[in-house]
Amino acid sequence: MIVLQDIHKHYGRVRANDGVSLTLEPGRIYALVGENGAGKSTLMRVLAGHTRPTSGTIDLGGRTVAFLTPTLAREHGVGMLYQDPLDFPAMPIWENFQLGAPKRTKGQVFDVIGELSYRLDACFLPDEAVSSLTVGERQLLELLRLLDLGATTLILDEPTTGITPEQKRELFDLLMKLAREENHTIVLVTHKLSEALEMADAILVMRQGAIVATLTPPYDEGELVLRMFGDAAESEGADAPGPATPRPAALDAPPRLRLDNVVMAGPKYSMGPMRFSARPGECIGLAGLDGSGQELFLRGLCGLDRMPGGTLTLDGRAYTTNDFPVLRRAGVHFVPADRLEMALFPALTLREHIALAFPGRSDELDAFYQSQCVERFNLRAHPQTRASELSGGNQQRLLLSLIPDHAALLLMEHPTRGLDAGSARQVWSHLHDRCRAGATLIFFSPDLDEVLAHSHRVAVFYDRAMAAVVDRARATTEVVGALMAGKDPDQVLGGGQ
Amino acid sequence: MTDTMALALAAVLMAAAPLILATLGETLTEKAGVINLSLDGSILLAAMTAFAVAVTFDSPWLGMLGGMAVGAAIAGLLGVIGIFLGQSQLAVGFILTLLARDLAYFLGHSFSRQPGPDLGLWTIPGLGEVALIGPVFGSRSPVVHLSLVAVFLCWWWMYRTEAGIRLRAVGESPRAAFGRGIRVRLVRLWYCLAGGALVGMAGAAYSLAVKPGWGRPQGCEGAGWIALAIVIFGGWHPVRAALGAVLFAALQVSGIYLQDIFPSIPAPVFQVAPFPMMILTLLAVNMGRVGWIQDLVRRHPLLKRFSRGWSFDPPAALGQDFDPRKGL
Repeated sequence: MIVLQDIHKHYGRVRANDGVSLTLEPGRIYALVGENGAGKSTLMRVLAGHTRPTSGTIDLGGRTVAFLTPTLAREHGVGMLYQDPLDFPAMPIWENFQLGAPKRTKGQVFDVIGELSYRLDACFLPDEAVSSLTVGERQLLELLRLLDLGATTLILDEPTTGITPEQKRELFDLLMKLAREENHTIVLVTHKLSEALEMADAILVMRQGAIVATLTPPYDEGELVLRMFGDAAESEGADAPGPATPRPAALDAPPRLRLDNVVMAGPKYSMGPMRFSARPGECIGLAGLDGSGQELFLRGLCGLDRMPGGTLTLDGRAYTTNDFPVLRRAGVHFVPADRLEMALFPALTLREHIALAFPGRSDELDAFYQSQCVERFNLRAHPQTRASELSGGNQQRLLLSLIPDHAALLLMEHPTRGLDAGSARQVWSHLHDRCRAGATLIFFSPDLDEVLAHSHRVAVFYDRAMAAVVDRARATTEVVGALMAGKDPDQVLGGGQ
Repeated sequence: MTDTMALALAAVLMAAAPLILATLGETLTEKAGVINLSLDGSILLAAMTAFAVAVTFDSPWLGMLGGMAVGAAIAGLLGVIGIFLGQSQLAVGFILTLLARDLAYFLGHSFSRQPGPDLGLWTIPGLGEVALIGPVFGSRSPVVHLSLVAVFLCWWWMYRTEAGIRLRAVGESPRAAFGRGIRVRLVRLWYCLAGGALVGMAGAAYSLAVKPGWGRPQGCEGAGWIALAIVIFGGWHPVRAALGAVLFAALQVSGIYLQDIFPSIPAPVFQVAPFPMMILTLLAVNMGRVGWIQDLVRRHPLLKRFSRGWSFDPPAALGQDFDPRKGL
């Protein structure tokens, strides 16, 4: 049994955890839910010994300590699995597995990996580099490693992001088995209520650094939403349907984008030749596991990765090379998931960003900032703020406000990454407005529900190729999930494609 | 003919020995995620110290120990300031290299142009009679043997021991390493010291074997900078880095021979030529980053197989500091 008592964790003036007390019993599955920034991850890092609380005590099977170290946590069987697996991509699987474990020979490590893989129905080649695995496989490897270390309390931070519904099913079955048969404690950190409702013996709701409710079955979804988001939730809950998706241009309208036998090549792999077309006003979601090709597709479309073959036609103009500045002038705009690293200048102010993006307006910058960022995009920040000081939501608002109105093709990587529910809704409502005005949106999200909710068509990627394009009417979780996992499109779609 | 070849090869290995030691030291340090730019000054100060100690105690081996201690001390200073006090490793390294250089000339003044002991030759019994390797290794300066043994030891330590896995882990991802219970900053400091000791050994190899004696200039000025470049050339792999050092030494030595063959070409051309040659080689080695070559490799299965495992990526967390108190 693990008892956390009155845990506080302060980062400067921010109180990530503000007096949390929590008891975890063996053999039970807990779900820790809450919005972004509610303090879920911080609390779990405290429990895993990855961060020291400002104050409070942790009681592990009778021993009380003020903080844990990773070694101490491991000795007490606590293991944590991060959303971005905390591993060493450049190193081989067996070295990743062995690091931090008691001394063994390479042969012994190979045997253990083989044995555990067999038990958990996985397959790993111990000499391959971890960078060759998908996110789902890397998570599974971490899980194997923690079990090998004798972990009895497993913390999983958003484990279902970036894996297929089928892999999710298998993972949940495995967790259920570990809890019921081997008496492990499982803590599932998630912002997806459906997962919490499905799995948990108890749901812990966090808000603003504190646990505001502990719910037990039978669950009332309405109450859960209310606890998570407070009073504002009732009118617009997290899973409330987004604003109506805009209608794309008619089928016989001239296409916005057409790809003929296009080959794309990135630093790691190439794919193609592909045929594809998109109409004005259309929202196309890309679904696929990490590294299946959707990243290369987006980056190739805007000219960040190379296009060694084929023709790209944009609004009737054909291009055989994809030069980034040329395409940008033609209205292709790319918004990366790494906003601060790739799209913004962390040390420059908002005013300077505007000046860079709209060079002609230097004389009336402040008025333009007011009308463009504040009024249109609801960016409530002083123009002299540096981009690095913005929250994720405001960063995305700034980025969207920097895209000129005449943008014809928007390419977005995970448009709502790291945003809370309110900001996410706002981003989508803006993107829908753009589509209504005639822009074409092609976006990727690791959250399959988001892809399905906002797409007229879904392009599914598997094994570095575009496996199928599915119409909205047929794009269900089962169908898209099966395609993501590599099922034959003819079989899944009944040969009708 | 074979004798000339053997002589040339021996000359190359001799010139390469200190470079190999210095590149190995820096490879170890950088593989752990720390950049030590103080190499050039460290080598000079270590060379001076080694010679001074050797003269004073009339023991070249004690001199070498002294040089290693100086190299480790400078690297330790960088380690403490860079790793534990969170200052810029680059800035501190630059300052240390200038400081160590001036200190070497200043403190070494009284030992300038003095006679002193050197490490002499090692004659390995029986090896001299063996064909091919005999003439090359039979009776050579011990720094040649030391440098070659060090290459093997470094490779073995980095890729065949648990400690080596930890070493690469802290250089790849200090966060993940911390999560596995590794004391990241301590491991990094340790390889700072170990790398610095190897760099000090390189300095001692200059003043006690390759260019015996002390003076201004000593003759090893600039070796540290070229060693830093060779680490990148070697893709942070000890064996490839050592090959890079040998290649550079070969270019230097071949200049001496070529000078005799082409007397009309001014001598400085041959002295400077190895540097642009190294840049060209670096370009050739890193061709894999160029787009059309990637396409070519993908189309040909044979090239693809050859290119696998041929990584020249730096350690992912090179130069990044890590403070466990801030948490993950």
